[in-house]
Amino acid sequence: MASKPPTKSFAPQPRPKKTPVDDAEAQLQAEYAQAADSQYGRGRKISTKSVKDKKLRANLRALEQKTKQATLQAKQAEILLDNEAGLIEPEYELERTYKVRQDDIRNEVSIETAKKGFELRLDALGPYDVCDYTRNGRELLIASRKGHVANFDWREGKLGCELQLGETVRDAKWLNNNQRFAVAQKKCVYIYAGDGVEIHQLKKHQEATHLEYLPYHFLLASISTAGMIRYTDISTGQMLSDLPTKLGPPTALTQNPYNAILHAGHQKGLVTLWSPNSQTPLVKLLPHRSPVRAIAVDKSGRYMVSASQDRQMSIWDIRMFRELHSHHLKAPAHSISISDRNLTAVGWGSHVSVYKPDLFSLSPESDVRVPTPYMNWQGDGMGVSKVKYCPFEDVLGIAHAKGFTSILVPGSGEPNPDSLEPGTNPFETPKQRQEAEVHALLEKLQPEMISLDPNFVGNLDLVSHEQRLAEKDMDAKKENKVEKLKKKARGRNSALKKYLRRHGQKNIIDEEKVRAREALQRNNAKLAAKLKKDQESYGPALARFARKG
Amino acid sequence: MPPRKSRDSLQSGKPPKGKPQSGPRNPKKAQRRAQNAFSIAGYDASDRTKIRKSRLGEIEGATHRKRPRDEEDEEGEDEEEQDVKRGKRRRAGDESFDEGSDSEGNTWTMGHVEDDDDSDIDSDEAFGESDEERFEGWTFRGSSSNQKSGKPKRVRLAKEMDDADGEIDLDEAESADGENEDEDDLGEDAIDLATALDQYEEDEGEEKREKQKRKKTTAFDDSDSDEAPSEVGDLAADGASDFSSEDDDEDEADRRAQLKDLITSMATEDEQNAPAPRKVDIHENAAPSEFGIMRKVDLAGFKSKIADPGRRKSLKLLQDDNSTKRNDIARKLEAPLPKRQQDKLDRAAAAAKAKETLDRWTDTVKHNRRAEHLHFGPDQPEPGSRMGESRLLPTTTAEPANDLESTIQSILQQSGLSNGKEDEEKIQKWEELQTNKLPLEEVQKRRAQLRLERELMFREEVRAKRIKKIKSKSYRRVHRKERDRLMEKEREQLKADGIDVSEDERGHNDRRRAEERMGAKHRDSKWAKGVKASGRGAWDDDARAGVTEMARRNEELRRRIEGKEVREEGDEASDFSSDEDDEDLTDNEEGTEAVKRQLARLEQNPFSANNSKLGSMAFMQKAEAARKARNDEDVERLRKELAGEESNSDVDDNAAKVGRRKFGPSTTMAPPAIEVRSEFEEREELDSDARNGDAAPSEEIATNGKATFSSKSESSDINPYLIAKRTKKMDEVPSTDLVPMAYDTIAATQVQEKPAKASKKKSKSKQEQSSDESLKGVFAGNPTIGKADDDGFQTVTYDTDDKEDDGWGDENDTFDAIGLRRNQQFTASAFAGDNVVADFVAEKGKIVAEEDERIEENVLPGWGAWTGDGLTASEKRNKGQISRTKKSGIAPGKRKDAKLARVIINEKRVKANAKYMSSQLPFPFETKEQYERSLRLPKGPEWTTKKTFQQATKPRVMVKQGVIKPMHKPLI
Repeated sequence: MASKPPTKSFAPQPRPKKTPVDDAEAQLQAEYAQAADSQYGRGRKISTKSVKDKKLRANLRALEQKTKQATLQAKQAEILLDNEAGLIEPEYELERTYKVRQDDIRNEVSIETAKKGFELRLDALGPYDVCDYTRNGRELLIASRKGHVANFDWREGKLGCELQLGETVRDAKWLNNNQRFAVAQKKCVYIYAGDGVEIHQLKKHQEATHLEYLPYHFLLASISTAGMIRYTDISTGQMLSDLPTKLGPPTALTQNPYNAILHAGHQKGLVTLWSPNSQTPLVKLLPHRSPVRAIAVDKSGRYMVSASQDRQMSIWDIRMFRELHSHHLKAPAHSISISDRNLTAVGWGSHVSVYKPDLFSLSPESDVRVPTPYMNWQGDGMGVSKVKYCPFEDVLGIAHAKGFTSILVPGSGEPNPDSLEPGTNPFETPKQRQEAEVHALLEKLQPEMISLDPNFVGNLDLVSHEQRLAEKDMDAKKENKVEKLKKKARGRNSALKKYLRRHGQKNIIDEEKVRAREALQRNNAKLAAKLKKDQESYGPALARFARKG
Repeated sequence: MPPRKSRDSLQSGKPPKGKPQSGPRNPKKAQRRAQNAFSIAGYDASDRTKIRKSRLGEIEGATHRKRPRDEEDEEGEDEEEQDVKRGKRRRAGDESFDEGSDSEGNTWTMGHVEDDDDSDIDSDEAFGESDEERFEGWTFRGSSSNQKSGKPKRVRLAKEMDDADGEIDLDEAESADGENEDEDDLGEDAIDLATALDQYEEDEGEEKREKQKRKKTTAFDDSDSDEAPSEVGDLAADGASDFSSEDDDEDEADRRAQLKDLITSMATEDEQNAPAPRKVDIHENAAPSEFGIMRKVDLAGFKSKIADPGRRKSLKLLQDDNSTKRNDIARKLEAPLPKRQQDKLDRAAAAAKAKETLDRWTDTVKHNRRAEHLHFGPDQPEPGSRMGESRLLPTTTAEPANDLESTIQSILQQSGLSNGKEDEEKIQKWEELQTNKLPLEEVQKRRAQLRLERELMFREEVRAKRIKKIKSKSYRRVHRKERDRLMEKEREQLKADGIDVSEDERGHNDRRRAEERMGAKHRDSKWAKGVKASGRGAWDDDARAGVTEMARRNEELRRRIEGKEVREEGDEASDFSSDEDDEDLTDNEEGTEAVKRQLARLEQNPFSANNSKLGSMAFMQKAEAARKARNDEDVERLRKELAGEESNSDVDDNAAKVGRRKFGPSTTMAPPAIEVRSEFEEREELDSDARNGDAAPSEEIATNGKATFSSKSESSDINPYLIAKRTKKMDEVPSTDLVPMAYDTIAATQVQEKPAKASKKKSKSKQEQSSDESLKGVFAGNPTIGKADDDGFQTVTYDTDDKEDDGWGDENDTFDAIGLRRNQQFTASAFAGDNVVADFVAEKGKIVAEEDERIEENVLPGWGAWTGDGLTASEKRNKGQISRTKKSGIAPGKRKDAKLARVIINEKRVKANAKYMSSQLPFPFETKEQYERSLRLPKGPEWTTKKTFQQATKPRVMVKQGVIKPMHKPLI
């Protein structure tokens, strides 16, 4: 078996137009530019010819030029990605990659890599339903249904903490880094520090069955047995509004990493898409005719894979909301996970099947009825309850009835981590982690920015004037200017004084001005009193150091 | 000059009436004067210069009656009036005043006598005398008339004598004059001041002539007027300055003197850098008097003697206007404008100049305004270059600059490696000495040898260049041929497919030709003409190259016009030899032949120095051998390549071959035109291939290597799963749908919906799309599969079986299908009661209806309706006034999910998101697209490269610490 870089690209690229270019080099350059555009381009160009305003035209041209340069530079920066991605490829026609066993792989790869495949046999503590990796893939969190929760640096085998909660644990999730994790217990959700100390009890998140954490918004989302979706901002501790699904106990919950939309699976084969800004689901899909068991969305936010109780697995394009493909598994799937490089792992029964990224290039018209798996894994009689890919590693974590198993899936992880993105640096030091946390907090996105199209921010709102008027809150309180001015703390110059200076010259006396004047007088009196008091307290010798203000 | 003439006439009228009517005449005179006062004043104010002019230029007209009068008047009109009063006073007996005022006793006595005789004459005379006295200095201070300054006394004496002699004569003459001048007076009174001024100068010549005649008759007549003698005296005194006198000799001398005068005056003016306006005035006044001379004297004769350019210029100015109608010095050297006007003009000119200077900056300013980034501050040195990095100086010539260098130098000297400067100098000196010792012939020989050597080296270089050229030519040719062949093939292919590309190509060719034509400036460009004219091609290499290129283009164009194939420049521009140039290489073989021939020629170097004596010298041989070795190597390689290429082209005509090659008996290569086909077509073909037999897959694999873009479908083709399925597909029995029955009824409708869609999509049979089919696909296989592989997937086993034997697979299939369907049935029945799809459809319908546009009815109960007993049924039905309002919504057809059966998309507006949206289009943008495009490229370092990020966040104006110098010149 030889590992080769994949020759196929996932997204269908537009064929280059045939132009009569004589110069071979120019042609090459054009091809390069086109490749860069298809990979890193930012949408279609706009035509600047029709623009009449000279300045605007020049500006727009410069803008286009900049965009082009940016794409070219992004393409050129590819040489910095020194690690290649690749998959196991068969050497001859009849060889099948899914026949490769973990032992074979472990024998072939380096010792360090081989160590990444391991098994934790935890027979006594019950079925392990939960496993989760931190965003940089360093730490692992596992939780059993019976209340055993443990987190550890899985590569070094260093235990972070081990808790015996003695309570049903339904889900557990790492929060922004390895310092905090949330556990959905029998009654409510708890937040623990990395060393196992309980920090918060989120009483509002009652009977949560599934947890999701939105890293860029600092939102912890849960869905309860009653079908309520709740959001908590973990940076401020504030709750956002509850969203009732009204579809009974949920069966699955996942997030779309592209736009932070939650996908909830329901008993009636429905998948609903939620944002905290809407009380009703943004989209309702019907991929299945029986309860949905598992959902996963790929990193680019294009594809959703879901599985149902009737063994069906269906692949959806969730930009177009069209089903690309569906087929039946041999047993109903319990869990689905999609890796950084779009390898789909499906845990069904005691098996795990891994599919290649070309799963997403299937279409209703294609001949493939059942896609061939890329890899297979079977636990002996251990029902797989959760599969989860480790970020930036060729590792798939499997939580099953008798513990946790880590298997090697060559080509699953992103080989070139982006250390600039907060929280995703696999080699980060504690100092870097702290800085990244601060940066992430400063760059936190507001929950109102969650939308199906995450690029909507700043776009033009095309709503009609009538609707705008209708939406306007006529009963809203008028803002109190004077109060606002009084609270302004910036600068030495009193905002009130400034206001009076600006607006007080005219011989118009209105209520606002009167109030401002009064406020100013009161302020001054207060300051004078304070000064006097200070002088008294300082004593006669030091009285001169008392300051007004 | 009207004022003068009128007064002249008045005065002339006086003497005859003289004594008897002294009393009544005075008021008349006064009246006349009063009438003319304005013109007099005007004249006086306008031109004081006239006074002097007449003085200097017209004094000679002594016989003329008019002149003397003029003169008197000119001498002081203000005084005249005073004198009139004085005269009156005198008559009244106030003589003491006259005495006191008059310095000379003679005058006094004379005046006394005359006072008795004729008060008028007396007053006139007295006036004239006093005038002369008073304005003595003023008059002669002028310019050319300076010479006169010494003479007035004499003149006066003569005058006195004359006065004493002829009083009677005077009367006669005056009477005669008076008559003439009266007529004149009448005629000239009508003319206004300006025209008169103009006329004066024109008339002057005639007058002079008249004067001359009169002079002849009356000059030496004793019985002349009282003023005549004075005029004669004047004449005598002014002899030197009289230009129009009859005496030629005198004239000549006068002219010279005048010219000298003029020149000296000019010189003084030149020397004074900023002449005061008064001075200019003086000069101005003086000029007209010289004017008479200037016309006659040929300035050109004097021109050469004047060295100073300034003076020459002024002379030229005088000369230039000779041809014009009015040769008027006053016009040539016009009076300067009033200061304010001059200033205004100056300001305008200065403003224009300033504007011009500022306009030079416009482009720079524009550029800076439009520039994305501006940098102010000390100029940084270019990145990556340090001081002294670009230029290394030899240590031998330069003095060691620092300690390190000096130590190194000393070390070198100590170790005997270098003595620095002295070393070189020594060697040079020694060489010179040696050459001095040698005989001349020897030196010459050596020189010739060196030259030859250099020449040969150069030739070898030339040869290398040619080899390179041939090589590149052949390369190009090979590639072009190949390209052409491919193109041809493709075209044929396309033609076979029914697509005619020729139009496109023709368009392309047309365009190229047009471009060629556009470039026809080669022939009649300025440059070409210039080169031709200057003959620069002979010595300038660049120009020559240009000319050659031009000729080549010309030829090419001609050929194009004739419709011949045009070769690349390499073919025609071969400068190797003329006969080869003429060869028309139309074929590939011929082309390679030609190259070979060229190579053969190059093999034996025509410039080889072997056969000469020089060539036998060691260093020559060595150098040449090295060079030749290299060249030969090149030639050999070229030859090999040519040969290789030929053999290649013999074996297969498709040079561009990539991918895996397959060897076997029947590998008829599919042409690359496969690429053009659409995916759809291909798949169909594959299907048919699969039906045809086993050979098909292998063929597919063969093509696989080439058509990479369609590898997706092909790889799926290799898939054993697939093959198994396809083979099954043919055998499948159109069985009754078992599973859908298990599902709810709506599911059946969905299944029906799908085939309908599929029928649209042409050839594919879509029945297999249905769920039971797919299920069959999955589980149609050997039931023993579960045991086959404990690791994972077991389905493989039946695939191969199917591939090997269709019939067996068929059996298996049917057998398996029963079990599977039963399985499916069980599963379906487990979820049968859910009515999932029905519920979903109902929900969607409800939402669509809710959000649709609708008309709302609002009822106001009781309005417009009766109540109480005895109402009819229809009246009872009337509930009240009904108002209908239309509520906007989304039509079912316009919903986003209109065509998506299993999707409900929420059409409600998310208000929270509107917070982050722009409610208005920001100013400079004209459309939504432009605005949103401007937001499209993210600025942050996470999304772009470092360079892009830095460029995007670079401030517009950057100011570095240091001295910021102003721009000293426009940058553009």
